[in-house]
Amino acid sequence: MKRLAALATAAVAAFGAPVLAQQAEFKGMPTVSRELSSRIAPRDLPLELDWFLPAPGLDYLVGRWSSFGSEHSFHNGTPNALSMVIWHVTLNNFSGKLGEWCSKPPFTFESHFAATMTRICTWPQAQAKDEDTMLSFWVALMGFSAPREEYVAWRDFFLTSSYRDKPAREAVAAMALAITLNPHFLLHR
Amino acid sequence: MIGRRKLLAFGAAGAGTLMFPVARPAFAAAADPHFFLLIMMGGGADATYTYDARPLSMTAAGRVHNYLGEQPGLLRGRNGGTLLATKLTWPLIRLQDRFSILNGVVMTPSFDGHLQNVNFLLTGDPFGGESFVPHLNVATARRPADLLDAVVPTNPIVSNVTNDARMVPLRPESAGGLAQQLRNVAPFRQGDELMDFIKSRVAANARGTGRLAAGAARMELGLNDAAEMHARLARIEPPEEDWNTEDKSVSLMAQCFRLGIARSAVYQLPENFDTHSPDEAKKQPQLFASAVGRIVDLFDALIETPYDAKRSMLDVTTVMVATEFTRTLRSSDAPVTATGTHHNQYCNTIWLGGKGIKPGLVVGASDLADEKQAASKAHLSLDPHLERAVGRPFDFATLKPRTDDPETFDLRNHLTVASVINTVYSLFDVPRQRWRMLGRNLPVAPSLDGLRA
Repeated sequence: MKRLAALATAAVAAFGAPVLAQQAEFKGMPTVSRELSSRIAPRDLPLELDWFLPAPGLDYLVGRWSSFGSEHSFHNGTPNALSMVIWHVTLNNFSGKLGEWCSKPPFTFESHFAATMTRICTWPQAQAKDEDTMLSFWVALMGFSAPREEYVAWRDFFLTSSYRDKPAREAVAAMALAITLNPHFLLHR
Repeated sequence: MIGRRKLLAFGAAGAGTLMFPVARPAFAAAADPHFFLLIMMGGGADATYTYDARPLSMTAAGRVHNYLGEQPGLLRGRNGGTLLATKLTWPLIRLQDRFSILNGVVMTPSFDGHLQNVNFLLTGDPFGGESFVPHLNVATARRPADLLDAVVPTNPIVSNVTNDARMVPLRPESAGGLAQQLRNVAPFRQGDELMDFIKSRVAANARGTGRLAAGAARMELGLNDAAEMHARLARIEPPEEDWNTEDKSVSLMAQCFRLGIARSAVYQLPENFDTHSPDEAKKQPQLFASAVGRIVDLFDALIETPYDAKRSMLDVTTVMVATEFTRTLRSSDAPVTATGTHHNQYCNTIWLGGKGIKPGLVVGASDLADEKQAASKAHLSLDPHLERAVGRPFDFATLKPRTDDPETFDLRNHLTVASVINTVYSLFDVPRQRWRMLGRNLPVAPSLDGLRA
């Protein structure tokens, strides 16, 4: 038993404190942007999330790889108050544009997602609230990295909160923001 | 270059923003405000072009290169310490009562790479670890949770630092744009139906164990402080577009310090001092002239930007100007008139000034001061070809080089970067358990108490 404890201590010493090793970091702007683009944008017109940054250069603050000689390291991946402010404003800008799409499409989407948007933009009508439409919208933005309970919580919130009766422009923007600020969307597992 | 009056006007406006209410008292409202600025010269800057010069007779003897071609002048510190300074330091003469110069600072004796020595400077370990900059906050009682450790208004320093989550690059032009947008976006406030839902999902994911839960817990902490951070950042005023980079950066730092956004700043000069080839080495006079100009602008901006009605930013900020190491005196495989220079981790020059530092001192020295000075046995054990200057044995009581020449190289006889960092730690009341050791199985490096104001 003592030998086992000594081995465990040595392992911790060798690999660092567990709290450091076990913390998910941001995926970073390029990864999030690529994932989102591959799901909702046409292949020849990729979507770049940094269009929605509040100012140029801030993508470095929300997780980015950098190289120095043969060293490659990921910086600013640990969430903090500043990075959360930047993600909030960036994703608020992006979500706002999705909401605007309902009244005046500002950009072109991949055809499957465009069909989903057309349906969800009928909010607060029943067609927008059916399971297929909501799940389709969720999966398009989130992908398959979140457990079902996250989807259920999100769906139930929008079907029962004051957003239930709000106009599409406002509700769709809020739905997108709630998905994109979810840890399953922003963090590496 | 901006008009100083304009800068003063800007500074006063920044101070005025403190009149607006904030939810919690800003860090800057502390009775004894104390901030830190690290100015970094990347690539290994050769101190023989600034404050550790050699006489031309040494170049004539083929012992040291000199692409400036001028005899350096003697600079005597208030403590009687001396050094030779080149004309490239002349723009700094009027500021020499603002900082002290530490020569002969030994870095890591075992590694001569950039990354290892940058890591050693920042963390005390050539392979990286915790940077000393965030440690400056650990002794702060009632530290606001949303305070960042440092803002970096330039390119960040490449290193293997593990505690840089709150050391964030924030360029003046980005900060201005960010503030502008933040004024038009509602902050992440409690009581908003949507924000509360988003936070509830983050909190739900933060419960339990595992990587995602730990990351979500960090997100939750960030979101808790996001509204406060949002409000503070929204109050940053963008600098005038025609200001130079240094003035813009100081105005951003000053606002971040006053608004309690960060307590430290790290400024990396854009010049690259890594001059291995003769062609690169020959450009050093221009390189240093440019860098010294920037450092003068940074000091001037700190002096002329008010912290409050009575104090300048320099009055409340400790400033450290450093590089990862100095360079070899020459390369032995090329003539002294057409040589490049390589890395010399046995010697470095660091300037310390501002709050808490006794200015105008010349501390320590490097050896091989001229062509006549013989190398010690300790020196020869490290550098048998006499390509490098080595820090002279050091008297911690007088802050001057010792006159004896020990036969073996022992870090306990030298001024090391660990002592420099421990001196900064002592100024910020960092607990002694964080202080740097001289090495494995060696004692804690002594701080330079005589350098403290």
